[in-house]
Amino acid sequence: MNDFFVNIILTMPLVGAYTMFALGIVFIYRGSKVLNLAHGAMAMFPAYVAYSAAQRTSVFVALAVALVAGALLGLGVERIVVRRLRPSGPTAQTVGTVAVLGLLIAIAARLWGTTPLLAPQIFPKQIYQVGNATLQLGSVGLFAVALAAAAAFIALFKYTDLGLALRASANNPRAAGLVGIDPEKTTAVAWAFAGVLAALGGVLLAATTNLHPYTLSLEVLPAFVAALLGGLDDVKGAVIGSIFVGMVIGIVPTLPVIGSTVGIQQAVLGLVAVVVMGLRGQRFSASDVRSGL
Amino acid sequence: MRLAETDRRVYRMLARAAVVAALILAPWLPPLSSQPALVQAANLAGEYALIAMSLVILTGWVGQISLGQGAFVGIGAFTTGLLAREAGIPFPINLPIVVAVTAAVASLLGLVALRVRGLYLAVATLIFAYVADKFLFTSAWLVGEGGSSTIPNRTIGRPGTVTFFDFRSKEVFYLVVLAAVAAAWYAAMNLRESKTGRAFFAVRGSETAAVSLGIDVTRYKLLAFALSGALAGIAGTLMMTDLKTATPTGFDFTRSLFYLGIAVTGGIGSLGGAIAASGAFAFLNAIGQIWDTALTRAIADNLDIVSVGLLLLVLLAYPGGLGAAGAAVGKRLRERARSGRRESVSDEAPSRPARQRVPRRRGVERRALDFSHLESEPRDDELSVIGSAAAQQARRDWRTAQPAPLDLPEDRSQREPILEARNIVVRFGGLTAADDVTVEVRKSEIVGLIGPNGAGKTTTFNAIAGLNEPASGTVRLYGQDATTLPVHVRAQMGVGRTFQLIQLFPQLSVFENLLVATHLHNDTGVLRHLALTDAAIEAEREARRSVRRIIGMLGLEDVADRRVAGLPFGVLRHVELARALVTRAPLLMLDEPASGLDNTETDEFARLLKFIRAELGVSILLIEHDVRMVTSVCDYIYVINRGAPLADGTPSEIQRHPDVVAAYLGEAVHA
Repeated sequence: MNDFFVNIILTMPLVGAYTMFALGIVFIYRGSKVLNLAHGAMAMFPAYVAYSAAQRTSVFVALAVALVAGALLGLGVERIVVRRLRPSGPTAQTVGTVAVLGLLIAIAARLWGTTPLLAPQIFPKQIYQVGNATLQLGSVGLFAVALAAAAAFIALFKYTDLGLALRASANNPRAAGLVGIDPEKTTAVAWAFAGVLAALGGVLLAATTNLHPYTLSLEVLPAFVAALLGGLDDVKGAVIGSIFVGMVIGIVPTLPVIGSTVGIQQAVLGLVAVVVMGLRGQRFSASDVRSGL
Repeated sequence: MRLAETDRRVYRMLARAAVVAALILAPWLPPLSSQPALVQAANLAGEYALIAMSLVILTGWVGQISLGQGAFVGIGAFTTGLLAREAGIPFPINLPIVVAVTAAVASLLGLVALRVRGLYLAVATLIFAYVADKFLFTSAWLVGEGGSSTIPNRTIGRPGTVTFFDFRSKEVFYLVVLAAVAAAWYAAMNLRESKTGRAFFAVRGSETAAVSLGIDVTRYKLLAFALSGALAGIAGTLMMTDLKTATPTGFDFTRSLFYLGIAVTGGIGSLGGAIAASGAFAFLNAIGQIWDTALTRAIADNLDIVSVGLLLLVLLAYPGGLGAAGAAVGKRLRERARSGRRESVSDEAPSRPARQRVPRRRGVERRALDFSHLESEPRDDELSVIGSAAAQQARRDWRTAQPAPLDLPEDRSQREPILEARNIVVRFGGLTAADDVTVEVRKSEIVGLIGPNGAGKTTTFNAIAGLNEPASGTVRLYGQDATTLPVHVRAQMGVGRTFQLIQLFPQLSVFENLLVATHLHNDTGVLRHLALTDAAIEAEREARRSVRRIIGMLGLEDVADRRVAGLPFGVLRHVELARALVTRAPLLMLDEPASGLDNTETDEFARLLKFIRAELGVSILLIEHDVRMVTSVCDYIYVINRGAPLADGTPSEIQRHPDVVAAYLGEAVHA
């Protein structure tokens, strides 16, 4: 097997994590028209919670605790910060999530320190040989869990009453309210789902790398690119965008000449994002114009 | 603060005198503080203030959310390092280059903003910051080998003289930072009260309305990015010169978020708030070194939590930020001052005529009505004067006065053509929304375009206004082909319009809304606005004068100072018409002006239309639903149905036309 395919396989955990993060970003955007910059911290914090819980109980209970923490975190951010800032407009709301990002990183640094920690392993510590590289079982597991979660959430979005309510209230909260949907409740549900996905991604991603308040929080940045490539309000687009972003990060370093340049993956991602936005600009702006941003 | 024009020269003189005095006195001033930490904090505050102001302009005024401002700062800093390393160009000679580079990079990012808006743009700027952080700031050619950029210290002048500047001294550098912040603040204040500033607000408020007033949205978005990038770049070069070294971690994306946090804490649209918030965060940073107490030590140890907590507190408890808090106090003071000032207003000083310049776009002649006959020279002071009893009496009131007799040739073909839209076809995919529609407006006519719902009225109207491109057909304005010209160029040629869903700028007052419409008749450029030259002051005076004429003519004095948000709907229709009139366009296009008005208001509006036509000689094209209004006010009517022309003629012809009656009452046309 050549380097090219090895690299693609090695990006599997990243693709999985980005998918879960990007889905959360899209849910939140659709639920309350907010760019949740705290999303990375909403992945990092539950990962630390899982770390602490795993020292007292089994990893699976710890995982469950982390998921609950993620849901509560999502609900809390929405209720305490985002909803209250709605009258001040999207800039203030976005900055509000920035404050949450800073706060969560600061609290995590107080509670657990800034030394990288070894995260609890959900999957057995097994290593496969792929070409001349190694792949952890945890990475494969992360990928599989992410795909399952993505499929579950897409199905939920598409086929259940709850999903319909979510889509309706994202589209037009007032009209949704008129037909008996409580937009506040559906928004809260969107945030809770996003929180669970972020927590799941955080715990699993930390297992393949390690725990650090700052680094883990910033791992979410490529997911923003993925969400944007998919259209920011498109669930399926977010999944495709994540796969694309993961591939770029995996493949670009193997390219001749430019491959060895530091930061080339980000540069390529940025370039792709600009091109896609340039080509699809009007479609992007449509929903924003309607919502009066 | 709204400065009356007569105050502006005094204000400018004082501001310039203060700068000169500061420059002369600077070397003799006592040291700011004996504490180096405090001086360093002051320098940092100044650098933050420049960045926060760059965000106030871009995000607060033009509405373009930037999550990548730290990247501009970094590019400014590393360009400074690059220039010093490769070419030996030190501060301050490097400023023009740094400003040019950061303005250019920011304009490139601005190109993205032409395609995407709102939070999509925010993500784009976030990605930009991310790429700059991971790629640009790790590049050896920019940053230098070893991942950090350093510059040698430079001195200016001979040691021992008062003109000696040693930038190693924080005290000396403090003066440099102070001068930069003062200059930026002065320029930005000038900008806010200028044509450029109003164009910025208009782009934020409604891009559709902005282009209809002749504002080139592309140009002003790019200009905003360039100005903002330049300011952030200056901050970057100051940081570099101040600290002599820069590492990429100082400009990563969390810094960008921090800077936005400062600007939002200040109240994103407020310059004064931006400076106050910058000071607060910079001093918070150094508080542990300035005072050594248990409390300050605790703050210093938990600086991250305290800063974030402060940001959250301001956001949640005081959404307007520090700027709004300051503005509330300022307003109270000003009101007290104003009550004493009103009597002392002098007559205006003799003024030079505004500079004339050729129109910007070649081949397009700018047409404008002459309003000079409307009123004897209005006085150049507060608005309240034209609301005075004497002025009220002198004015012809459209509500009571009979419209002046109109000299309209009986034969329509004798009237000079203004708008000729011929055989317009507009298709949306497979649907032909307008099929071979022809509409003509001739000089001083009021022409109606009517039809049932879905007839293609708005489609035709938008093709004439330039909002959609016809598949075939031509639009000629004043005899010139305008079929493919963008909206703002048509506005420049002399087309004013109103919207069915009113598109006023809600955050601005009525007076300010009308001021935006003087855009086309103001030939001063952004550099003049920044420096507040005589030409800029004169142009501003002229703009206010023309707005007051229209306000006087329509009788809007009572609401002139009120914010648009919250005014009754009927008044808003008048304000929007007034705004179109301020453009002095000889052709007005009104999109369902009576929708949302009751019968009395509709009659009143029809009366107003006749009045302005008689007084100003404007030609009017209106789309309308209300057949009663159209037949009472129009000279000629076009009826379309299902995208195709049905009939055209004078109101009495149209009322008798069997097809029209059928279309409106739903009878079969040929039973």
